[in-house]
Amino acid sequence: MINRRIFLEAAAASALPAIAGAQPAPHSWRSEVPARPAVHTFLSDARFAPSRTAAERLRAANVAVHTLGDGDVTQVWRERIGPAWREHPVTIAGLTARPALFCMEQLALGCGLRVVFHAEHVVHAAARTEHRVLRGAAAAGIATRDLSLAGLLWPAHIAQVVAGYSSHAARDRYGRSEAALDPFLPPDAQLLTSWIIAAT
Amino acid sequence: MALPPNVSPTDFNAALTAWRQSVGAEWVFTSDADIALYRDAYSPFWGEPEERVASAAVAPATLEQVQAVVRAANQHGIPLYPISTGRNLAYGGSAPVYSGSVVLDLKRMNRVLEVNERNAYALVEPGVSYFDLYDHITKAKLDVWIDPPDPGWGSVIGNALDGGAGWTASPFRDHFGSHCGMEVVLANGEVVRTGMGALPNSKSWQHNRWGFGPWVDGLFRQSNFGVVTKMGFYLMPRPEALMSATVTSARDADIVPMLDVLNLLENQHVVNGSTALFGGSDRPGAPAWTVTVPIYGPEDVVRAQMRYAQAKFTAIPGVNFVAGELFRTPLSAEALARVRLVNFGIPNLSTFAMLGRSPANPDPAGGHIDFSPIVPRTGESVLEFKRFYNENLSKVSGGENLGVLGPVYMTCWDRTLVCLIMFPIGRDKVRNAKMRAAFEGWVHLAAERGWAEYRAPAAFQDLVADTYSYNDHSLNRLRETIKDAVDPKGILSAGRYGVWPKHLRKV
Repeated sequence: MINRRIFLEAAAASALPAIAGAQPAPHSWRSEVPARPAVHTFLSDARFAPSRTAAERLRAANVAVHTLGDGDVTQVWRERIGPAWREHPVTIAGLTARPALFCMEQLALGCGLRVVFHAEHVVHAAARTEHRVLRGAAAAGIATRDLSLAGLLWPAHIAQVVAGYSSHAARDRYGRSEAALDPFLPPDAQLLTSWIIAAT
Repeated sequence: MALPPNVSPTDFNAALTAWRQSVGAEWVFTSDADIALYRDAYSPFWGEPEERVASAAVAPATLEQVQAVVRAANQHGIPLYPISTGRNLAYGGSAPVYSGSVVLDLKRMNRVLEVNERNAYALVEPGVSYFDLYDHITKAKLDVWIDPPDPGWGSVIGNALDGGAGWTASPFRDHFGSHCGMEVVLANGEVVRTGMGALPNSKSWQHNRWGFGPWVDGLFRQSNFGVVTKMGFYLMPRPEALMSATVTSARDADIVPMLDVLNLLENQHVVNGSTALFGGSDRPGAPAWTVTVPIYGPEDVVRAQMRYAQAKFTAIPGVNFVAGELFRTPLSAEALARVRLVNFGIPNLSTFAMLGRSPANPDPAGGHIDFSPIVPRTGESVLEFKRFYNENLSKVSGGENLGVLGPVYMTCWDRTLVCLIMFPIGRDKVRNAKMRAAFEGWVHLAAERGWAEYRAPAAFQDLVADTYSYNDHSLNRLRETIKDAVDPKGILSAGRYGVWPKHLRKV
């Protein structure tokens, strides 16, 4: 039987020391990578170059990466994340199309976890990308402006956020993200979303 | 903290206190962040004042706790909206029909109580998803299949009660039709077991659905007469094989004899799989119509039935019949990677992967709602619906291309078609308003032709219920009479499928 409150309280209690210490802002790729990444699994979507780039960075940072071939999260949910969440509310992340986040958020809510970081990236045909950090900027240590200034390197910045994310980061108690419904985009634009799901 | 409509703070606080005592304070949710989780992700009123939202939620874990919650709600006049897992996407999700209701969230009641392999049935609680039941069966190495819908993360009970369908063999695809026995908590907290379950220490609750006397189970389908807390379902003994054939024709008019043959084969139980019908696009070079014909069973029988089906279809001049690969079960890993899993009783979420932007779907909205009218399974009806759609699409859409997709001809149930029209729902309120207007237009136009929906999003349930108006809405009056008798205070799921309690009824 699920006991969501105990589930969440256990996670919150283990977070206390680091909340007091606050997470330092990352300065370099090497220095910010924790010895044992807090993120249990990163979901990459092989169809999108920015997602592949982020995945490469994260593999180098010892984060477990699961590649979605066609955007379908069934296998990773059934074989890896679902069993893990039944034991402990582990943190997961991704740089995917919206439907993958929608599915993972729905499944996470049933296990007492929330989307704690959420950014959208509208990739236009001319390699220009618009960014919006919708939630969790402070805890992740990144803002919309950082991503915009990163130019083509923005997937590496997302990888940096994921690799450096602390399971102890202070987090608001969020409701459902806006992952459900896509905005209407211009032709040839692709909406990608980067996200972190964790216990709050 | 939001209040349910027409409920005083005193009454609401008294109910919350009673619920906290009965289910534990941690399972009574009143914060904005927690309540927001119950919003309908595909609401056609997303972000607008008319969006239906909950005022609170309470999540019992046992039958006794459900009884206690319902009794307190009845005592204090609090509207409740029971959900199973809350994943009824495109038809309301977990949001109440009557805005301000308290969601009665049953997903903690997630026990698979029994799976009987010898007589092929299961008894489950409302929080059991298709994934859960599949896992239970797989771990126990039982040789039975479930019939998952697409996607497979929803509640087995919730899908059946809402009228959902799956993708395996015909006795099992009608999820309500394949149930056997219920346990229901009435609005006064009393527990009823239906069919053979009314016998104390019954040995045959999931063996015989009828029991003795009037059968009442249908009263709890798409209804608000009780809270279903257990339900039995027939399971499919694993078939030895599945073979499918593809039947095509070049001429539009061939749909008439093609569906006549398909109906004959289904009604003879020669074809038992979930058939599919595509076509009517008028694209040059494409077949006018394509029907897929799957058959489950022992290999020798399947092959013999396929030969019979081939003889029937190829007797139609100009029709082409191509038998496909025969799959033996259990599937090999190689076969698993290239089949549609739901046809083999395996739940999954792959349908969502198709919702992102792709060459085939260049402007996805993310969400959708479906207009789902029932149409007789005849070729003449298909051709009539196709003409009806083409003639009215522009007018109903206000002269714009709204990205509406249709008609999709669903052949999931014997003797009927569901001629689905899908409306994309996004975050643009102006476009959503146009979708709503178009949806309403189709409901009215279809009703004039004698077609009406089998299921509708919460926002349109009154509209659709109103089309079932024979003899000045006598069916709805009967339902209201029953509602008043079994739930006189009108606390359960007010407005669900157009049935309102007396105090909220329009004069």
